[in-house]
Amino acid sequence: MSDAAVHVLTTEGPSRIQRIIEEAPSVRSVICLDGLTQILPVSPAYDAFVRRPAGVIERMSGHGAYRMDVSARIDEGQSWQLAAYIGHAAQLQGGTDVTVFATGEVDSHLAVRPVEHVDVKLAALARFLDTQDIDAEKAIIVVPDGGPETPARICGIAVQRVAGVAEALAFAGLDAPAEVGPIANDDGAAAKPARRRIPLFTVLGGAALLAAALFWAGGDFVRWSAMMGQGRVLDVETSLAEAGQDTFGHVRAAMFRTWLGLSRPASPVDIVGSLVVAREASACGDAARLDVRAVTSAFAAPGEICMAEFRAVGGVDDVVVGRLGYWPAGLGNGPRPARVMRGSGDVQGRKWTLEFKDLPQAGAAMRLVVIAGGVDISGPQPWYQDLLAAPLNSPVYEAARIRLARLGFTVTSLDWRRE
Amino acid sequence: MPADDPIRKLALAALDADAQARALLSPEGARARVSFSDLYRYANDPGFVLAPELGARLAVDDAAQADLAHLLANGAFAHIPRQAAAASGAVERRETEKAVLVLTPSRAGAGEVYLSIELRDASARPPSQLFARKTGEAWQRLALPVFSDAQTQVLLDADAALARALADPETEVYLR
Repeated sequence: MSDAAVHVLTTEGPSRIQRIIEEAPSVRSVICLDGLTQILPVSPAYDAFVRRPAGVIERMSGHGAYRMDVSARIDEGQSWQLAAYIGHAAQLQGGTDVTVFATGEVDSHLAVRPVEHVDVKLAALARFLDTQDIDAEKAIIVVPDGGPETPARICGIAVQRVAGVAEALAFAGLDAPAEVGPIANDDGAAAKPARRRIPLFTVLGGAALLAAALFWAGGDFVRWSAMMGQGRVLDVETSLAEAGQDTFGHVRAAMFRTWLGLSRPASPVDIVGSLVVAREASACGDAARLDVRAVTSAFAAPGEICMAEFRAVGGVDDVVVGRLGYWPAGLGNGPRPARVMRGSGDVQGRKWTLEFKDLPQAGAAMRLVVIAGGVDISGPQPWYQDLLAAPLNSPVYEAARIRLARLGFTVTSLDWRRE
Repeated sequence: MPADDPIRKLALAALDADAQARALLSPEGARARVSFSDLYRYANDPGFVLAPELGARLAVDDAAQADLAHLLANGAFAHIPRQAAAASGAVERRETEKAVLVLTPSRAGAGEVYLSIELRDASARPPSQLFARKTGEAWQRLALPVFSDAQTQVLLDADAALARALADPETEVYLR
């Protein structure tokens, strides 16, 4: 932590941010209590606050996983966000010895939104300050603008009402982040950057400009390649979109996409499947009374389907992942599949086994989506929503497929339904 | 069968009564046993805490450990067996068809490790407890935090028995 002392205002009194540590990108960000291993329940919300594409901390710092230790419990809610943001900014910039007490919710546009119980939090802060020896000239209390009236000072410390984090940082003697990444849409996806035409002078530039572009491309290529190697495909996509906002970045992103396209698997993915069927539902638990049939696009025979098993096999060097979605009332009929199976990897590819709790009736459907590429994909994978629900070859499905193709992956899908 | 089902309570009470009757016949041997109903609640109820003396008894009672193993195997969300004999060194990742367990050292300081659990079936009802046992040792139990987006994460002391067990290829794991 820097010299700044940043506190989260709570109704029980201020909770000091004791330290902020970068963790391995593969773990989720956590808030721990007083240096102990106790992870507070608010941690998933902190992780979402940190990590791209929706999180604002990674946009500021470039890192996506932290451990933050606080001196006292922080319960559910979002009002810790403003103090957390200031804490991260102070950590990055260092130098300032200000004491900050803050409450407020921070949205993806870095606006500060009003929160509840500010009066109770300030009363608890006043009781706390009565027991402390804090230099009021080097301290600041920051609350959201737009809420109920607040006193101008508490124990001699000025109360500042702010509408955005930039104001809050300025009051704390900190600079606003030099570069802010793309603002997320409401659905969490990064805003699509406007496509820019490459100016003529770039095309006509001399060897020096070309060399400079290649120099810069090299740095980004290393970063994007490292992220891709970790399976952070959505992060790569977001970073490419961000880079595409300026001219050289657009060229670098296009070059990297071309390279990804060249690394796309050439071997087709083979999918085989089988259904375990029985004459009646009660026989599903009796191995002696089961029959196994190959999966075809539709099943119209009498009897009950107890279990389905699919196996996908890709090229020798390809990593095969995917999802099996079960739609009891028909493909796309409902907000999401009733069940989604991730499958398990094996030396021959990947296998999905679905034991039906509710046996498929007429109209039930399964969609298997198989993604093949050079790496195992980790982190959020929003494309599955469309790939599992939209009709094959529909514009929505194709958009999701092309999105992955531009990142070096192939998509193969299989539909099944019960007549 | 719900946890407060009266028939189950009656059956557990009958098992305890039987054990007590046996204890009266051979008191020195039975004093070291943990009742079956306590074992059952220990295996199924994350909020149930064994009294310290019972916990100490359980740790050294091979028969109770075996009973607990049977309880854990029955209706487990996932079982992750011991690693293959060829496995060597610390285990960082365990996979089954149901879940993936990953151990990641914390950078916040030596001696802490993250245990991340990701369920393969995002729509499955998530487990609430983890049990781990290294060959020849007692079962370790961990109440799991609420899963979010089919994932959960806990932070363990690297020197804790559970963390050491999870890093050992000779450890089997149940998620319940």
